Amino acid sequence: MRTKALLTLSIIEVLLFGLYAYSLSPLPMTCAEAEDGAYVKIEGFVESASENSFVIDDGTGRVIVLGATFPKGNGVIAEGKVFVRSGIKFLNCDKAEIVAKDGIAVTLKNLAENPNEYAGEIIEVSGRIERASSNWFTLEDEGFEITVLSDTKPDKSAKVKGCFFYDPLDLRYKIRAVDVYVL
Amino acid sequence: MFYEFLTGMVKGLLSGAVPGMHINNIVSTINDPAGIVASYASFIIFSFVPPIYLYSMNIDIGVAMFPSQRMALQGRSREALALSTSGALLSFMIMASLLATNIVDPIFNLFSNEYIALAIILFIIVALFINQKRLFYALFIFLLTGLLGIASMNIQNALMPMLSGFFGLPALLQKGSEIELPESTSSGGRTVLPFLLASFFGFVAASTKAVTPGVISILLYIWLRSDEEMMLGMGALVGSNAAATIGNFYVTGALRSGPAAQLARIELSIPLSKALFLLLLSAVLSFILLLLLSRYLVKVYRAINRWKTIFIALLLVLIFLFSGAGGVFLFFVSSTIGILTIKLRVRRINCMGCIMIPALIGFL
Repeated sequence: MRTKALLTLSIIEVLLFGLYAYSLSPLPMTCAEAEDGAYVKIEGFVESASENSFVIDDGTGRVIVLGATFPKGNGVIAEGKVFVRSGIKFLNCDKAEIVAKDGIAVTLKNLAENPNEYAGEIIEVSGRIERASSNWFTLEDEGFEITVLSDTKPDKSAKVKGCFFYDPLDLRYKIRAVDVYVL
Repeated sequence: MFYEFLTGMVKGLLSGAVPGMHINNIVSTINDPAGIVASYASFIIFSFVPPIYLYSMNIDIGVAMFPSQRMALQGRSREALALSTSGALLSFMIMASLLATNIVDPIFNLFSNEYIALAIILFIIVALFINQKRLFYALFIFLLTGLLGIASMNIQNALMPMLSGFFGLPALLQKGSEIELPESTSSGGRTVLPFLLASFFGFVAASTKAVTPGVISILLYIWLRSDEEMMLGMGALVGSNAAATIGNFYVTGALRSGPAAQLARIELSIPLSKALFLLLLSAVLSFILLLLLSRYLVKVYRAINRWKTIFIALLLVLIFLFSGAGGVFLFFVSSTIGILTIKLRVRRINCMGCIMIPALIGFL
């Protein structure tokens, strides 16, 4: 084959391959949707972190991300291949980056009126503590109430930063707290 | 532990001896630290066999493909194998000794600096283009393969099909055809300097972000004079790199190789001294095993190699298994570029743009 023709062919092949590879880009997926063997991109927040891994939570579930770490509470996007061991989902991280550091400031009234708008988001909300147990408490404000899943148990009032999610077992929206600030 | 060590070693040597396989494909199935380090060492020793006898690419040995191909065509395959594996074994020993004495620990932290990594990559690119003939075409190939490298980021195990396409298939096709191999460099050469230089490069690649053994092997290709020096050097580079990635994991927690990542993933752990001892033990046993098995392995490889079509079909099957349909597509594209490089009469080392440009982009 003539060199010029081979050169043209190479350029066309690279362009075609680029288009093909672009079509393989991972689609954004939730933790619940991520299946064994899938190459996914998950957005959520860092629920806990260790030296070389962190747990990402997007309100639909949790995935343990291996090979990267970020401080607890950061909003992150992680990309990689999912594998499941003993029912726990892991993600071999190819790429991960912080996407948001602060939660969206809302009131309980906002959440009650537009829950779908905030589902899966990291939010910051304030209120009074009504009832409390060892790993949860309820936050009340303007007559609206929500359950906050947290190991921290403040006394009277608190500002909570965490992931707003729908709990299908309880048929209710809840907040999984990342940080709880006593007011 | 003995059973885990042995099974790890067998898995490692299989992943090294089967063309297209890599330790990263198999290490996730090993859940014992002794097995992980044993598999890594035996993989390194056996990974030199397929590139020398079958022209299939090993992503870690990078541009060592050229001297190994030249020596193979001169009927010096056994010499190439002996040089590379003994280089690897010796550098395993030296690097393990250094790691055991904690002398190199501070250097791991020094090389983990991002600016140093960027400087090394830029230096390699500059070194690559100094004294290049047909600079325009060399740059064109470098950029085209760089684009291909970026596009292939979504393909699993992309380096294997890509490098086999650039370096493996063109060499296989030109066997007995009118296209000449690049000229062999002078015979003989130094041993100590290439060995020390390559061992140091292996250590640098284990410590520095985005600098892989394949990337840094470009410097060996540029600086070393003869094929013998290159083969010894590549062995030393890969051996010291393997030992240093394990050491770096223990010292800084960095995950610079698949086995190091697997060590981080599993719950069991062993002290560094024990890991280094097992790494060395596996390397020595694998070396002896390779000496015993090489005659039979060579027969198998030669039988496959005699039938080019069958070998290419086998390579395609392996690429499909490890990288999927995207990998096969990538293999064809990179083969076209590999052949184009020969036709344009530019050095095929310029195809390493496929690693260098994505590595540079990683710093943005």
